[in-house]
Amino acid sequence: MPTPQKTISPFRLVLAWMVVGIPLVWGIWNTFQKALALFITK
Amino acid sequence: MTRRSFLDREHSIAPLGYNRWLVPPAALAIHLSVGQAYAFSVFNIPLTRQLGITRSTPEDWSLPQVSLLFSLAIVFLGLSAAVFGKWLERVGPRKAMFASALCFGSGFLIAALGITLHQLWLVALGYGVVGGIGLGLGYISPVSTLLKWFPDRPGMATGMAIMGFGGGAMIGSPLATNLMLSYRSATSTGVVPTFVTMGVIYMAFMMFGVFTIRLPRPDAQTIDGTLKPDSMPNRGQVTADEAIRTPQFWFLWIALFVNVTAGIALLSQASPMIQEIFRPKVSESAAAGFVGLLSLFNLAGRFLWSSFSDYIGRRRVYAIYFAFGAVLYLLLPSTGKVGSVPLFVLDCALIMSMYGGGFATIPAYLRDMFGTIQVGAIHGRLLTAWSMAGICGPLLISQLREIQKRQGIFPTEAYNTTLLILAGLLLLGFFSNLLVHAVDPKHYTPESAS
Repeated sequence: MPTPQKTISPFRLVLAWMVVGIPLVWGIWNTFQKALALFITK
Repeated sequence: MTRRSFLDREHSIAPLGYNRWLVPPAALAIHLSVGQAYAFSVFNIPLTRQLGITRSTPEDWSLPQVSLLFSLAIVFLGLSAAVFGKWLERVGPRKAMFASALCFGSGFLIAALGITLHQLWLVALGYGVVGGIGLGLGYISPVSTLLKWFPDRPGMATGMAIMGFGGGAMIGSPLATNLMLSYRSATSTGVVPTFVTMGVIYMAFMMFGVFTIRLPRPDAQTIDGTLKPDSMPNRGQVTADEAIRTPQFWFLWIALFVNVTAGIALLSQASPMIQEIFRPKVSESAAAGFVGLLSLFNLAGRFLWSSFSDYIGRRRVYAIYFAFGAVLYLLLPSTGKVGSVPLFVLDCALIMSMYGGGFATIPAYLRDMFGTIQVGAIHGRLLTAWSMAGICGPLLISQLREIQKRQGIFPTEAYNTTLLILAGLLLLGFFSNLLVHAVDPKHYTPESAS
């Protein structure tokens, strides 16, 4: 007998993406700030 | 009633109607963690000052000794991916990801004990061997699951996960730096508590992936349409043992080896190269910014090129990496001659995007050639090319530099020869890729052949 159909709430989907997305964006932002040094002339 | 472990393959099969977009975050949780390995260099200097704290003492470990820890981890990544690939296919991704989390997290803890006791062999056993096994298992474990969930967009799916590996270094580096700063005192460099904290954080973060990962139901496409139709429905299936008997596997091995060797060689020289070619225009801090920019392009390339391969095909995209890549390597000295920093940066950034793209496209390429039945195991075996390139790339560059230095060649001229050799390597990869054709049906499993 097939398992009853279970839909995933959009909230759970957003939460899952936030768990990995927030650290990733933080890391990219840090690297981007470091990279800016290339374009800043002192 | 049989007791089923939560980690078993049968227990991780998705219920009907499961949203496949929950699987990439699970894969990313693993890859963002194990990608920390590429940020290991932030520990190099502090590890050489464990006894002297503010400066190295004669009893402290040397920089070459400490640098070996990263190389050891990469060697064990390749070895464990090759050895445990078939086990992963048998037990499913959840158990393999759990083992990866335990190994990677405990690797940090064992290494912390080794640093406390000032025993380098124990640090090597912890971070290099145990952590390296966690790295290899973690790298391959979500890939075949993603390929099964996204048969219509395999390049995009694996591109997302492998992009996470690139992003892992971007998280690992500032995380380690900030932790060491907060733990540092007059009597400690702060490395030991940083290792303990990171071990615990990464183990917990990877457990999110373990709990979230699901395998698609074999009947999902026909019952509820959860799965989209396969983009190559009539492809034969090849086992891992059979795949290594095909020329296609070895042509792809050469292609990956060449792409990684050239990329690592450029990446390892990026900072001194821009400073020497554009002296005194580019300062040391600007050169560090340049390396950061290359990491961003490496990350973006993993997702973009791999997704692009879903539209133009894997063989064509690899042909672009090698042909366009060789041209870009050959153009680099000219950008130096005309004194254009932006052109030089753009050239290197494009090269790095294709270096990342090569990593991300290979699982989908393997799936096109050998099917999904043991693609994780085949991918694991192919990653020995990465381990080999991890040793050969930096060695090639350092040996070349040594020879040129002995001959008294001017630094900027020396780079020209190096870049010419790297372009030649890419041409070798181009021809190897050209030789990749459909696998002979005699290698297919009996079920898929019929």
